[in-house]
Amino acid sequence: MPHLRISTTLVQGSNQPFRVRVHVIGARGGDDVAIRLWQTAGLPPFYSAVGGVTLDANGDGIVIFDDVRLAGPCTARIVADDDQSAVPLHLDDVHIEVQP
Amino acid sequence: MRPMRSSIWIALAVSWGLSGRAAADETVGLVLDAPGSTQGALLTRPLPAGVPVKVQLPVPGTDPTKGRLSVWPQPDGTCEREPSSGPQRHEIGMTASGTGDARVLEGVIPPLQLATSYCIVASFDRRIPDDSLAGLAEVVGKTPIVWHSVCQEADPTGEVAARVKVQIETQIKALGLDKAISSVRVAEAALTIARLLRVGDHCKKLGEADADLQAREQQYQAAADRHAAVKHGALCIPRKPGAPGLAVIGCTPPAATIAAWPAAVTRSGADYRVTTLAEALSSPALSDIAAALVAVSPAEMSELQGVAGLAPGGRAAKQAALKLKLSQPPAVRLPLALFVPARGGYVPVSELYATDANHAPTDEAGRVYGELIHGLRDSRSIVIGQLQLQRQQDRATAQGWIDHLSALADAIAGQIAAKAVVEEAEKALAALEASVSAELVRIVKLPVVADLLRQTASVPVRQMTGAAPLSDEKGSWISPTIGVLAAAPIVVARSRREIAEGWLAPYAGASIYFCRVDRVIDLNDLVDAKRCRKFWQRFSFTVGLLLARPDVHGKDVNGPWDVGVVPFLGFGRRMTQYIRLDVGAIPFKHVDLNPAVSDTHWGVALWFGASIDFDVWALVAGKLVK
Repeated sequence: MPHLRISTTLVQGSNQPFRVRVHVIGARGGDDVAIRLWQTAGLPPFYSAVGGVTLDANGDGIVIFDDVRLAGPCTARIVADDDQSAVPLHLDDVHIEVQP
Repeated sequence: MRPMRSSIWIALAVSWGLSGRAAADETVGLVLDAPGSTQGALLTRPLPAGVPVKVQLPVPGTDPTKGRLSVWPQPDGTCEREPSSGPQRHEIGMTASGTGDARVLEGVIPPLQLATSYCIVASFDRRIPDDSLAGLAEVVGKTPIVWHSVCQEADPTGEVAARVKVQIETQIKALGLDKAISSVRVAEAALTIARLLRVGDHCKKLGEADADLQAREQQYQAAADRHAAVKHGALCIPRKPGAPGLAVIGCTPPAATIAAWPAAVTRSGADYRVTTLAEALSSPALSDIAAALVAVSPAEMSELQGVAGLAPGGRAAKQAALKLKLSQPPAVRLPLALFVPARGGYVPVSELYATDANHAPTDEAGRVYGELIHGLRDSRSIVIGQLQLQRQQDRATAQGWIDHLSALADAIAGQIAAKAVVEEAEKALAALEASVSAELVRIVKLPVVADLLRQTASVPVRQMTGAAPLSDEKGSWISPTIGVLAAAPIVVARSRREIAEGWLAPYAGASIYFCRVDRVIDLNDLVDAKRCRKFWQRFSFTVGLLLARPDVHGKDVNGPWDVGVVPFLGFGRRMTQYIRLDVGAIPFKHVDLNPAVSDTHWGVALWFGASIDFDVWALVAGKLVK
């Protein structure tokens, strides 16, 4: 099933920028997908951004969010889901421990 | 005054001199966690009084350990609050003795007071249990460390130690050991763990791995951008409205028609072969080729299908004519269609540009593009080979498409390769981070760290001391006593009371204490016991007889009712363990001053004296009153 996979280090510093890679796996080759990465739990302000990539012939791609900042200390939850894609992509989420 | 026989004095003195006070150590063991016990520990025997007591606590093993004994009198209640000072409060060190399973911590506490409750608290170091240490190691292994922040600090090792310390504190609190392991030890252990972790090395490796990953990400981004640039910038395939990425304005798509006959792609086993259509006329797969092409260009390919439908015998003339026709460019431009092996058919390139009413690419267009790049990935030479043949008839159009599709194939291959490299770098970084976690777990289990995380266990025991052993007087409540007193007799003379000449007389009797007397504990250190206030340890009544008959008016006095012995009654205080001072009264009868008067009169002598309590008599008395 076409899905997303979030890849990042799960311990971050409060308001310290870090990178998140959202892997698109098994979707339609060549599709221009838009992926939304957004925070659903933790301390405000909640992060939200949209990034896109043209998938390769395997239907795979990586959307790189390179300036993610989370307020802390807390355990934040971030979710990646498809904002635009030819086929539905199963979302992914991770919990990030935000250190002071 | 007539003295009693001195032989009695000598016998008593010898007996007193011969009697010894037991001084040998008695040994008592402490049993931890005895089944059914409500106390932290139990003693292996009744606590003796009056002698030094060696307390032994089993501590099997080889890890370094030491202990402390705190002892204080506690008549009632629990042993939770240890006094900082007070009589008979002792603090004794315990050292290890023996080896292996027989190793004990032992300390000797001074003699304890008779029939008194004491709290004995043994505090000693021991390692936390192995399963608790394993759990602690797992928790420390999960210490959240923001490496890219920590590694930029002036003291990364200290930063890691601070975080490890929090993990240790949390876990030992969860285990209920926070009061047993001091914060100093925790801090020391955390710093030791951080030093053994070699934070500097990890910072370097993690930094390099992260930098490598970031470089790979950038390379992937560039590869993905190249793909997008070819798709939307060169091929001018429309982008979905609102999709991320720069919109290409005024992009002119390459021609979707071509003045060339399509190439024929035939399958030979697992391989495909690209030929001109003219050459394919003699191919056994002509009908398949014709069927595939007629779907793309029905009008132009109908003749081909017609030839394909002829019997082999009647085909030659038609083939020759068609071959001649196909050797020249078609009269009209044909839709450019490329055979894509994954599809098993021809894909008209015009379908790449199909849009809906909102000018968004149709789903079919997206699917066609996917099939095209799929074909370029797996069968690049097949796809581009068709255009290379068509270039013979329409160089410009074919060459344009060759360039675009070659760039697209390169971009696709580059994007796929760059993604693989990013994933490799991700795995390398994740493996490094996991190795730090595994290393932390290993370090916590090292003996040097486990020894630092020693808990101080305190086990309280409250027990009353029992009988003093051996030949001590067994703490009897009654003691024989012998002393000397000075008395002021009050007599009747000439019908009035007056004080006669004083007496100085020896006496013997018994001191009655109303509780068992402890003659080992220093008098100033005596404490109240539950059944005996310390007042009654020092004060007692004395009863007895004078050993000499004093006289009044030159005549010996008698005891009450004219008996020949004179009793006395007194109340005294122990000034030392055995020496006492007493005061009291001696009732007696005396003759009248006037010798002509035969009446006797009552008199009373007030006295004070000093005496010595004996323990020979108490030894006998102890047996009698047991």
